[in-house]
Amino acid sequence: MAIVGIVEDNKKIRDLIQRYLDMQEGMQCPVATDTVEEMLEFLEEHQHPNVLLMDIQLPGMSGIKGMEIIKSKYPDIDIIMLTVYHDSHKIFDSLKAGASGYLLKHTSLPEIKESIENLLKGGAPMSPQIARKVITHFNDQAPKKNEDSMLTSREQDIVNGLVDGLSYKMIADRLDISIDTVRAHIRNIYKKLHVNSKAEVIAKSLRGEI
Amino acid sequence: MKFISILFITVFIGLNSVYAQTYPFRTYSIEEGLSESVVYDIIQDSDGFIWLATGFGLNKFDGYSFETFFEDHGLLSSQTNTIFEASDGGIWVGTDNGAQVIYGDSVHTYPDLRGLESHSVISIYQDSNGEFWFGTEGSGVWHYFGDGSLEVYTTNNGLAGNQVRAITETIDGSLWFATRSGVSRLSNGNFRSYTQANGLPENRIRDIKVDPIDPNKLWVATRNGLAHFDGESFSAINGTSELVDQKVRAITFGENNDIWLATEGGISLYRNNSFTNFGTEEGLSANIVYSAMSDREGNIWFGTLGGGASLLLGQYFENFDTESGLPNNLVTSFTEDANGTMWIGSYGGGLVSFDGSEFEYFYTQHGLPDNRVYHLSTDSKGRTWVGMRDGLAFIQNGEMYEFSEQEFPFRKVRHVNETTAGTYWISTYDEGLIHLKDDGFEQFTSEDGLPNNTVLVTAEDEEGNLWIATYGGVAKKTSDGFELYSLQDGLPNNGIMDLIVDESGTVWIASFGGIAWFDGVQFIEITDADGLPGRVCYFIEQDSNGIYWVGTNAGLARLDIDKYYSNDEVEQNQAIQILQSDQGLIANEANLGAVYEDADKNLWIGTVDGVSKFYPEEYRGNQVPPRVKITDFRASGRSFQSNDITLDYDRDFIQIDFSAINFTAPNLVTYRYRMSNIDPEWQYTTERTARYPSLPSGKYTFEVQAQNSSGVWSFNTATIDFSLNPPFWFTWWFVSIIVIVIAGILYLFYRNYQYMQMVDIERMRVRIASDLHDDVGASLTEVALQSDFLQASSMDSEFKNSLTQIGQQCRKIVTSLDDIVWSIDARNDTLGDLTDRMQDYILNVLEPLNFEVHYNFDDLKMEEKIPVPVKENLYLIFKEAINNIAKYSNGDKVDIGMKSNGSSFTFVIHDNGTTGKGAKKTGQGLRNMQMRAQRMNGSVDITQNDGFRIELKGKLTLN
Repeated sequence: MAIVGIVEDNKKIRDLIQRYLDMQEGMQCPVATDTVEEMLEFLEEHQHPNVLLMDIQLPGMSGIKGMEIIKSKYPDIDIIMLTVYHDSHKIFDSLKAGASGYLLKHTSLPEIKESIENLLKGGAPMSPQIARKVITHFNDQAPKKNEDSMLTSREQDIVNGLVDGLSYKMIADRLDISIDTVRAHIRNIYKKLHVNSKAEVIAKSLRGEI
Repeated sequence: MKFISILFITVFIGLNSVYAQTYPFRTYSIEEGLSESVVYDIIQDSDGFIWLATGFGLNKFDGYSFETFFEDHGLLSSQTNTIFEASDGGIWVGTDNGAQVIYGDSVHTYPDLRGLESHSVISIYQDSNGEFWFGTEGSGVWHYFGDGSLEVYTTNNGLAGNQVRAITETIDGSLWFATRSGVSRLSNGNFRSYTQANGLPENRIRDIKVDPIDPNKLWVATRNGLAHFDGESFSAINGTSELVDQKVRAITFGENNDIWLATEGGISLYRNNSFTNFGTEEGLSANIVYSAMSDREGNIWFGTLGGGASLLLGQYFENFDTESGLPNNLVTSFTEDANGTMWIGSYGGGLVSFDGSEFEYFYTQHGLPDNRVYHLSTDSKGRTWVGMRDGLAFIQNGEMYEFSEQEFPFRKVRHVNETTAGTYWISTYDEGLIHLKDDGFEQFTSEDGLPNNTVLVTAEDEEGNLWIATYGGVAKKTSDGFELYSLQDGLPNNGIMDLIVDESGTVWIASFGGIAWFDGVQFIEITDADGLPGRVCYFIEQDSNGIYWVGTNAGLARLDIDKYYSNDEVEQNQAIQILQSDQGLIANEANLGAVYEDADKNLWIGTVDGVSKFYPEEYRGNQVPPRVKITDFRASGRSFQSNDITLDYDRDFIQIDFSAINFTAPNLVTYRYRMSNIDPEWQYTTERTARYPSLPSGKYTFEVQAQNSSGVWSFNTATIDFSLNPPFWFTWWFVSIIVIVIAGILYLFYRNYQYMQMVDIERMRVRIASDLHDDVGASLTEVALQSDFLQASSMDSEFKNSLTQIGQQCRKIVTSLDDIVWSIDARNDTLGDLTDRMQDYILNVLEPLNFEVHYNFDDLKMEEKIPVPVKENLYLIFKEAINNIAKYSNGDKVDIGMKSNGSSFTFVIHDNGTTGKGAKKTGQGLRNMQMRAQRMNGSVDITQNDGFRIELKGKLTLN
């Protein structure tokens, strides 16, 4: 049983997604809150959801800040960002903060469900523009990073494929690996992205920039 | 002359009653806030709080209110059996489901002790090594080592019994366990058991305590009396009097080697090898007593079955009322007759004599002229005078003489005063002062110069002058008449109720407004403002120790006049001590003149609710200084915890709560506090809160001290520091910042007026688009999700189709809005952003149609900026083109390329679809492209050569 939680300030959208997911077999959506703060309270006292759908623009704490907190406290929770804007800056910021993927709000309900299932199976979506930012990010970091947080050559190949606009299937064909392996690599890239971002924050604070 | 033989009467009619006096017990039970009335254990922790384990909940008591702990607060069971304070201050509690510890206000459960949770813990002890021992109800004793391991010892290991009710340790390091089958001693790793065969009176042991004087010795409570271990062997204690009940439940030690025993039939005090017993008749709240504990102030607490906790404040008061055998509670007078028999007069109950064990009654039917007795006194001739509402009489040699109407035609006799000359001054209410001589009487009234005809009492001073207390002030009889003293001479009130001449010859009066003494010229008053408990003073008496006792409408005051006029502040504070019903006085309202010191130097006090006999020797006052604590700090309603508090300027309503733990007289604790910079001197209060409604900003220190009812001040001073920030508009930095900011704004405004205008237009564009997107987009998204949701339910396919279309249409609009917002958003203004977006779009539109897309962006500088109108139009042209391909192209390959030389660019989209079929339909789309190209000062060139090719040229700069 996959447990899903929702943080979304539009009540109608929140209720629709919650009711829909609750109706699905193998899925349960016991909690849908208005704010990150309420979700944090819930997490203190209840069983953790496997996946959280989280809006970015929220009253009170922003979704990006919320993700950082939730990820640092409960690293096992996968967070999917739910956004109105197809805005690569915000999406990338949220990925750095710990999101494992993103969905546009007008994504259809069956697609939302599918994305959650894919994520749980190990898949994580990444669009070319995000992939581009991933490359820039890692290149910028390159001189000062240890190897653990660098992309492996295979991960580099996959990101390049994404930048070229190739689908997962095409990347899998090109590199002669399975689609699941591509997914797993992408997931790993996300993880490194999170680690890097944390390191970046520390480095910045050491330099006195923040 | 009418003589009546009083002896004759008492032989026939005297109703004897074995007396039973009550003691100052104070009860705390459910009515006072205790969680349940069955108290299994009581301790006082090192902070002074009393903890009570009850059958339903654990209670913490500070003298004012109970804080309760139940399962809701984390207790494993609300049935609590035993409490123990560990050396680190943790309060251990044994429940029916194991043991837990409380720190502060939170209950902690140790995983190490999970094994105990299925057992009822009835005793807890921390030995000298710091390790814990838990005695259980039937499962032996559990040893909890410091390292976390738990071991259990039962009869299999040599323990006498598996029910372990108490644990203690003697100075040699031996641990002693009280079990239901004897006492076990654990020393050097071996158990040794002691039973009846070893001198114990019974094997069922209830409690075991180390002697507080000799830590080698033990006292043992058994089901058959008290036993003692002298370091070698056990023996039963058989006092010279009977123990109240042989089933002893608990032992505690009081002052002066007293041993207090809680039994199933009351409590017993073991002192000088004899037992003194107390039960419900003496004021105990219930006779089955489970626990006993003596607190720091010397009070003894008893936990009872059904009566909550009973607190014995000492034995300095013995109380009598109608329930103890008095005929009437309104006691007015006392005297000891020539034989040393105590007589008590009451208003309505006649006379009663008391020989220390029995009352004998003497009413009108036995020959007393009136049951309303005002006054009793015994003169030098051995006559006991009786002043009544309806006349005067005396008793001499067992016979009573009643004055006839002719001999003494006055009523309401308030006082009889024998002069050194052998005559009598009789004070009457309404009829003035009567001088009674062997040959008749002489009356003095206001006509003779008395200030008032209501005369309450007279007294002769050392010079033989008669002082007269009236309701019109004080009169002194001189050879020429009367000298009068009233308010202007320093009297606190003209209604004088009592007057004495003390040992040193000083005249003292008690009045409706306080007491006063005469300094030779005028009266000096001492009133409630000086510390007396009440304003109305019914009597004043000096005892043989020189102490003055004042009976008021609000309790008894003990006045030490030397301390009162001492220069030492500590002594001043101790000068007036108050005794009220809380301290065991039978009632707070005394009666006029109703005080008497008997031959044994004990005081008898008559009140409206009976008699209190006071034993000055037993009374030590309340010498334990209270410990004062600040319990809450609130600023404008919000609580702050730490000691160093910084507050915003608007949190200026400060309330500070404090309290001192004192069980002897919790309501007589006086506090004094001061706030630095605010209070020039200490502020005195009996409330437990200080309020400062609007403090100016600044740094403050608040200090508070407490004083108990005996005037002993706390050693400690509780303090709290805080500061109140000034409002920000008062700070110099704020003013400077404002000046700089205003100057800066003016400067910027001046310099950038035009630029600002442009930026404003740009911003407004973005804002309108964003708002449109947010509001309309959100609503459309709702509609789309709603349609998804409906589709999930079963319905006919036509309906479903419509729903699908609604959803798709909504999403399309949202996407378009999104694109518009994106394209005009100045933040996405690099070539990289543009190409990313394009690729995304293709991924969504062409990928699913299995087009192979090749990009040729290699020459582009991705971080190069692109003006918003160019970006917007270029992107929309691109979209139009891709949509055309998706809709009409029959090809399977698309090439997309863009080149730039820094100032101008070329953008090409080329697919390999064959021409013809769709060309016409794209007319409108092509016109759109043209129009958009013009808007960005560019040109578009569309050719159909090896597929459909769109080439767009333009500039990367605005003009």
